[in-house]
Amino acid sequence: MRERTTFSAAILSLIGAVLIFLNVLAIVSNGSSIIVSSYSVSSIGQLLNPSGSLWYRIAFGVPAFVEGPLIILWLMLAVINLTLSIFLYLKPERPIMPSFFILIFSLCLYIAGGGFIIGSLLGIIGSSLGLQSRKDFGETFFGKLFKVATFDSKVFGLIKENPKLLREATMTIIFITLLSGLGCSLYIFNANQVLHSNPEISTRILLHGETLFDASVLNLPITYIGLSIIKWILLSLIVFLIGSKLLGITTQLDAIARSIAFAYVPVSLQVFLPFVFLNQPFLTIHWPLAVIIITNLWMILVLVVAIKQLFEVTTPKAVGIVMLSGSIYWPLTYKFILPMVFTSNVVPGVFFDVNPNEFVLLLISLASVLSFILGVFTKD
Amino acid sequence: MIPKKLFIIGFALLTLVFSIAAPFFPWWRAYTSRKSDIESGTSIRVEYGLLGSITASKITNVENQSVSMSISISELNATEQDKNALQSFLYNTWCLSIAGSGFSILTFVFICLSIGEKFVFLKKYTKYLMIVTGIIFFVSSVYFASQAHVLISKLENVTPSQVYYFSGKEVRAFFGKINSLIYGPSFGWYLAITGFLLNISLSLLTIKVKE
Repeated sequence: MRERTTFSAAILSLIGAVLIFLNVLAIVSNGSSIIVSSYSVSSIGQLLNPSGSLWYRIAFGVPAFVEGPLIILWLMLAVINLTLSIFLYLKPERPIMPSFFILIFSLCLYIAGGGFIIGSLLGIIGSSLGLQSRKDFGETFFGKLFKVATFDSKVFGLIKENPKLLREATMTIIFITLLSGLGCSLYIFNANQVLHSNPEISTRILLHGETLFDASVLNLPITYIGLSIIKWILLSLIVFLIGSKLLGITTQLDAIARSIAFAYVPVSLQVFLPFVFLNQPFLTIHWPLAVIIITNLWMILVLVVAIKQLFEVTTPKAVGIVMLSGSIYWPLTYKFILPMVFTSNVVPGVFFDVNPNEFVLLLISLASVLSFILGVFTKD
Repeated sequence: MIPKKLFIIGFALLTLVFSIAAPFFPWWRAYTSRKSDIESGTSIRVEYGLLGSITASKITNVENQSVSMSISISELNATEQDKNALQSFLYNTWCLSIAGSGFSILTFVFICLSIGEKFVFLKKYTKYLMIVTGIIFFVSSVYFASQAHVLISKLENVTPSQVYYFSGKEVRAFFGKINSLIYGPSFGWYLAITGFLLNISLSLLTIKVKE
């Protein structure tokens, strides 16, 4: 099993390193960052006025950092990264040193496109597995996250049985908040620049492929850590109350909290939000909404698997519990806590709000009836 | 799991491909920036190969205005002496990189042969061969980087006159930018650098990883 961890680490790092190498070669050939757009546009005005056809751009590489002599640096790092990944594959018994450097280089090479983004991601996951190669694949941090995201119910069994994982669960919540917060914050910052700055800035972001950064971008992920912990405890409490008090299932709050923390994993994918920029109205509505819906739906499905394993109930009943818990959790968080914390009308971050409140109540009623039909209130 | 020997051969093959390709791709280029391409609707690109060929292109939105051509250094606007100096400099670099490619082929053959029991003795020569190949590519890259801009700066027009006017006097360093035009090394030069790095990596891998 431990060999499997090292093997997975080596394979992931190697695929990542190859992608990074190819990305850097593409930059070398092009002489600047790679910008892929749906169709060519000659002026920014075409993109800011809402039009029918969708336009998008994806940039691989930060333009100012992948030009001139700096390309040599990226080429060197990419080749060293590839060599280290091969070394990790050929010498699996000594994984710590190559894994450590692959992690550093994969992070640095994000600036040079990160192997079409996927390469760096694989490099980071692979090298992290390499650093934890003394553990079985499923016991490593990224191993757990991977298994959770792929709906592996066994991992929730392990999380339920191991009280020592509460610390790791809290770390997971913080890690996910930092990633999703950074993605959302960077996206909002750049979208605001596109919509409210002068045309030159909009051109830089949309047409030249730049992603602007400001220290204020870090505010959101850092300040939201506390809020995420509150939301996590709140959801765990609701699930615990429904499971333990309403259904009479013998369970512990900490076991539920541990599983729920890991169920948030798909939300971390919101970090990819700023990699694509679109024209209006897709910039402010469709793209962020699509990412939020997909990641949250994914999280809900993972939660169903977790609840099924925790309470040892059937899938329909698990769906019902999630639905009922969500119908209490969602209005509590988004209608009471967030408006209370942020007195202004604008809540920072990317959210979708349901209005009017009567409609929210209608949805709660629907969820309650559905959970009743699914057998939540029936004791086995 | 792929056997170690096969993996080393695969990596050596990759190194070989880069080493062989390096002399055949352009080594110096000048091109318009993305910003300029979008604003003016015209994209200009000129590339110098080691065999003295120059490919130039101008792609524009205006109908019948796009140009794409290939000329030799002798057709550029400059004194015969300067053109000859540039030509012989490119030829010297070509010889160096071809020597690197030759050594790379030899390295690959040695690696393949040393896998068999009959030619195990070749192993100790292989690692030296890889280092020599790497050094040749490094020398050719450094030689090109140190002289290219000096000789190109003596040209009256770096690009064919049908494409654009870009005075050689503007070229002051190996990497540079003048208004909307960016100049510097091209893909072939980077391939030579990659060839150097891959050969050194390959030698380190064969030393560190023993079956």
